[in-house]
Amino acid sequence: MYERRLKVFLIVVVVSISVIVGRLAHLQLIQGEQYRRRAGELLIYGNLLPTVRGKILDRRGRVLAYDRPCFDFCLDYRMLKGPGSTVDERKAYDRWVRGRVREIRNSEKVSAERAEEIFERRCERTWELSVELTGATRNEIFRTAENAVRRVETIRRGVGGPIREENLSHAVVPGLDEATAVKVRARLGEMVGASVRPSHRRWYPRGHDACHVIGLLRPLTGREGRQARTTWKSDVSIESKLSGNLPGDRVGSVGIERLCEGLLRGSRGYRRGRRTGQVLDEIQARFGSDVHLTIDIELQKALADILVRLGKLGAIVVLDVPTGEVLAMASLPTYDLNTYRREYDRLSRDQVRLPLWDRTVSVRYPPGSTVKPLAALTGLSTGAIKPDTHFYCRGYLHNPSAFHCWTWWRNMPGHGSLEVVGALERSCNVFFYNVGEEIRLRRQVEWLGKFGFADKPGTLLPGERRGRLPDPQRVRNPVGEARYLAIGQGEAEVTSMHVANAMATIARDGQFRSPLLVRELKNKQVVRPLPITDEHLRLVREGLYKVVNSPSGTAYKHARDSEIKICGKTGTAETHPRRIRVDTDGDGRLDRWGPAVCTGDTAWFAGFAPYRNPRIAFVVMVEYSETGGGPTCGPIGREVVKICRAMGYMNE
Amino acid sequence: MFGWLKTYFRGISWPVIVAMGALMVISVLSVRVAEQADPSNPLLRGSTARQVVYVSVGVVGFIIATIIPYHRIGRNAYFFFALNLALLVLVLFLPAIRNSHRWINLKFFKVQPSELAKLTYILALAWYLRYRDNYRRFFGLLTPFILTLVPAALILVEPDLGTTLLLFPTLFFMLFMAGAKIRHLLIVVAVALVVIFFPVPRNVTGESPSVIAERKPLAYWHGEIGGREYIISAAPLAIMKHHQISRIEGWLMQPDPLVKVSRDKGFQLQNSIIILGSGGMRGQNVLEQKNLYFRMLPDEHTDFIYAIIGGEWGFLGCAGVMLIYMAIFFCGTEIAGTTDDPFGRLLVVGVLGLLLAQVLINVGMTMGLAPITGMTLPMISFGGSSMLVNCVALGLLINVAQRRPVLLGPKPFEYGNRVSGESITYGPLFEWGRGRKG
Repeated sequence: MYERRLKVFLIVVVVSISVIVGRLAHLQLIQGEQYRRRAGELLIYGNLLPTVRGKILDRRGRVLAYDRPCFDFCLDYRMLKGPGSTVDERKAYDRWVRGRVREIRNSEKVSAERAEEIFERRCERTWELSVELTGATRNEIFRTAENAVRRVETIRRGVGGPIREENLSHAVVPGLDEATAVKVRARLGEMVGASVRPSHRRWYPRGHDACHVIGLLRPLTGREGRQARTTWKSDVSIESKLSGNLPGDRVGSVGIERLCEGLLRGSRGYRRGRRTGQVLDEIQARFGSDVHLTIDIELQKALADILVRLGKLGAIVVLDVPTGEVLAMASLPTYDLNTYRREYDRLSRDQVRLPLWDRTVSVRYPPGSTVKPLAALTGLSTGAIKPDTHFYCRGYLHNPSAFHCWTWWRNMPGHGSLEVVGALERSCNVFFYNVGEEIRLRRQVEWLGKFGFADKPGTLLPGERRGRLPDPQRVRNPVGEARYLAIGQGEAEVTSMHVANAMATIARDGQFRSPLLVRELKNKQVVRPLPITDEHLRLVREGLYKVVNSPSGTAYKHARDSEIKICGKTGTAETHPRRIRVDTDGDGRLDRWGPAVCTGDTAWFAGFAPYRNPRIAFVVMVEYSETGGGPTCGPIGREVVKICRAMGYMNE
Repeated sequence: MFGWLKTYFRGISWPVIVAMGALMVISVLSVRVAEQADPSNPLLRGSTARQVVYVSVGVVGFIIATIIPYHRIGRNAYFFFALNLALLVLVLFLPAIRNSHRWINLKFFKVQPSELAKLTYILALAWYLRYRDNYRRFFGLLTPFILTLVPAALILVEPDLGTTLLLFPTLFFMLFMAGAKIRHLLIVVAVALVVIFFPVPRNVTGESPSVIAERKPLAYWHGEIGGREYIISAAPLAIMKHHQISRIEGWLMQPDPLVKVSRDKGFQLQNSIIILGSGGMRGQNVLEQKNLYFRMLPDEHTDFIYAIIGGEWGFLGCAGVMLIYMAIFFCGTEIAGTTDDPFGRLLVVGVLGLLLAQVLINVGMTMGLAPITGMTLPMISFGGSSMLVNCVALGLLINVAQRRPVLLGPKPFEYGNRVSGESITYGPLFEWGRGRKG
């Protein structure tokens, strides 16, 4: 029996070892090649090579935005996360703590208990010091820490197991300057798991200047992050993956940063290599290319300073007439791009001054009388009026109850009989009521569209808004609307850039060019000649010249300059008061329109200079002004032209 | 003068010793591969040198185990067993190392009482079963089982599931060889299977989704009964840890090694199969391949050392190792068949059963035939306790071989009517101690 059972044992041995050897043969001999290939794949790793975002430069090559080297204050993930809730997490944390305590024991030569005490104290001290040394608030630090932990946990869930990020440091206070970094480094010994590592950060050397134009970066939104991750896993070519985003990236959110995202971003490099260090192939990182703006930042600053000095909110736009380049587009109030994130709450909550709004291309105002030159050109070109057509202004159009001239409210007599040039010079409403009536609404809207008023201003900035014109099909009273449209009231609302570009078009002998803001996007500039004869243009320009230089012109007292012959058109547009939204039922939601916080007219002064051979076109717009366009914006306009001349934009 | 030496060598089974030496060489070589693969790992630094020391200690233990007559050891078997049980109790009160109470830290090296328990358990069981036949009755099986359950329970709470599970095959094998009735053993197995797979409902109403998700994969059924959510699963699953469940799940899934799997399910198994398979016929002796080992295997120099052998020396290496083991089993069987002493027989089959179980489980888990448990490959895996215990076990095997008698009468445990005609003549019955006295 025993012998027999020994034989059974031997059979078991033989059978089981045969099974194992059979499986071995299957794995190693039959499928071996396949596994070898797979093992080779596992040994190859891919590393992303970083790219550098391009700079934003102004027309003279001054830097407006660049990636500045700086330092990040980082804390170990265990520090950020704490002991955690699950058993595994707590074990990992304990292991880390033991390691740190051992380090303290070895370096300080103290007993285990003492080392633990020191560790505890350093843990507390870490948070205190990180607030004290970096200058960030407690709240900010906790928020970034929380975000880092959440990000790591998300990755961990995706991978389904422990990941490297759990043993790494994560930036808690980014963007320290060198002095602070040195200060922090000197005291790292008093903290646990703290480190300072070099990094870079988008920096805007000009701070407030052209903040609306330059724009900002933002982290990817959750949806974009997910999309980026799926793109990364998908089968598209590696090049397109590399030029795309990855979770954790920052992309342009507004302004040029967003408009030129594709140019600025560049593309990451990718290096495939073996663990032994041998590089298999490498795709070089393509650094983001620089973006050259047509703006002159010094000019922009000087112009914005005028408004700041006067304490007015509004916009100033200066265009180069021959090329349509934007020399300056200042919107007031401004904010500092470098501290934007920290001040975002204050900025976004300010409903009165609305600092985040770009008043040059994103906010529409009724153009007021600045549209009259266009109405005149339209009338002349369509034949609705002749150069010598006279209309009589007695202060109102047909009866004193409606359609007044602006003189009516000032208790002045009407302008009397006027032809085009005089009507422009004196900005006579009654004349243009008649013109509008003659042209008819449909044609007028069509012609304003030719001047670009129906489209976006054309700088291509992300926040741009279309001009708003009445829809001839839906207007209830086309005659009245046509009259109002001719003086820039009624439903018409356009941005400052629209008005500036219309002036440039007149100055450019009737050639429409969309304003050019980015040199790199020159091929997107729209150029089209308008069907206007030189004769008509000469008339309108003469009118605009007389506005400033004839004693009876509306801007004569305010904008006339003895050296430069400025042409311009004042405008005073009645505007809705600005109301703020309020929370009436106290549930934290803004549900009703509250009281008006800004009242007044939109004051305009738009024009070009010099009269013969114009070089620049400009617009000065002050919102909710107490006084009219002439007194408010005239002097500013003159100042603008003087500054432009001083900076050499007139005598080229 | 060297007469005693002549008699000492007479009965020795040389193939076993050669095989053991070969395994030791393979062990040192493969630990060296593991060390080279990951030079930056402080845990592995100097492990080859340490393994050489362990091998030397093992050889010394082996020699000692061959010199002392096994009957003299057997006489003290209960004492050793009791001592070992005391150590197993003691170890529970010592501070945990790597989250389990397995090791006694003796400054220079760590002793693992559960490894020693394998040996003392076999000795004690063999000593107990020696002259009895009560285990041929069903209830006579009770005592051997109690003898097993005590150390098994102590080892289970350490926790060290692998070693616990090892005791039972050994027990069954020894009982089987000692002549226990097969139907009794089958009944025990059947009862155990019923207990293990007995469906136990578990109310999971209000438990967090993650807990439910952990329990669900291996459950028989999951759903609602009368508005309450229940999971019905096998009894042990209720107490098993999450990682154990996911290991079994990963094993049952048998993931395709060429498709990426998540880290907590079958990841180790997949990696070990890839490494094993990538060895091909002759193995890949390139630096890259070594890199693979430490990148992908958690315990490449202990539990997964067979995968390294596969990657480094390919099918020839793996099959060679298997052949060496096979040689040990054949020679061991021969020793078991030719020895006459009941204790000696049981000792040999115990050692063989233990070795076979370890080899099959370890190799099986490396190639996906068994779920992953922490089990060393005897004589090859890195580690002092394991090496020493296995060397001593083989030493005892040789010890029995040296003292094989001339067989004259019917053999013990041959209960049939058939009288074995075999009578193999070996040298005179030799016991070293007795010989010197005379």
